[in-house]
Amino acid sequence: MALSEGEIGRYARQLLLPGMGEEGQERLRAARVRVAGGGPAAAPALLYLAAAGVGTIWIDDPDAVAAGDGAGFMFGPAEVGRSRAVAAAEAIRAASGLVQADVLRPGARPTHVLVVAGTSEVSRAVAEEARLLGLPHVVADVDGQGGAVTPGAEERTTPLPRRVAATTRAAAARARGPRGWVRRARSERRAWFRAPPRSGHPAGLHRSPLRPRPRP
Amino acid sequence: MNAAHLNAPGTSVKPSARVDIRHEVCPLTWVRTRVALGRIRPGEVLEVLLCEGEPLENVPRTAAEEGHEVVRLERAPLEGPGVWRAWLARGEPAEETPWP
Repeated sequence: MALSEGEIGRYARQLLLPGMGEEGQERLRAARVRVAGGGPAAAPALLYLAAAGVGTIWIDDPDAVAAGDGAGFMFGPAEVGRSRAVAAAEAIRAASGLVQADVLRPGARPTHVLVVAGTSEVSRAVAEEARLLGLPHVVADVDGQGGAVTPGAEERTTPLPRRVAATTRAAAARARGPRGWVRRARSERRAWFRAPPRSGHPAGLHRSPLRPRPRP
Repeated sequence: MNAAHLNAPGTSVKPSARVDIRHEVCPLTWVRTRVALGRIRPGEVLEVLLCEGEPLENVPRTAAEEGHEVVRLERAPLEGPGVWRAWLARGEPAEETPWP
């Protein structure tokens, strides 16, 4: 369905980007993104997704808003104690009337997954679930000294419809790069730290080489 | 693509679509023109009503830079003072992968 006049006005700047145009914006509008996490790191990502025109955003976070979550620019003091997912959905709807935002419900079928969970265990679990489903996903791992953003996409074992499978293969190939982007990035990080590799997520949840951990 | 034949005497080519950007400002002048061009097929003609000044300077130039062809550019006094009419023939789509 073609963009409305309101959507054209709202997304005018990015409609001009090469390769974007109306078709790209329509594809953004058709996307359904599951965002695992609603903390201070996820909040700007949620607002950016809404500002970009992603059509449906589902927030998956069982925790309540903490006082420190105000650092993410989305929650005010009055939101402390409320459900993060509910408060984030309300904030997104208030920020953009063109986006559907809600709490992740059972049976939801996202097309993409963004993992900004607070703990590595949750990140691994959600990323693994997305990988098995063949969903393109991005994992953002944040700690006190820096963080890492890792794209990931794998084919699932059960066959997909041809068109979807081609899209997934292309996304996986883009994520890997010509020589295996993820593996190369991990090996580079290992060399940087001169330390044995951590047993981590297959998509690579590692400390950013830009902010190395100080050695004792 | 050469659409000069569309402007030849005796031809009865009519625009496939029309967009009025007289009340828009940059960059929405070009945004609305580009979206309208994306909705017609290559070779078809879009009629654009635009005002003198920035739109008249930039819209036809940008259209030509992006591979479309300015078939006709003339004053449109019946539409109002300072109004121009541009006919843009859509060029072939560029070899680029839609994002995302």
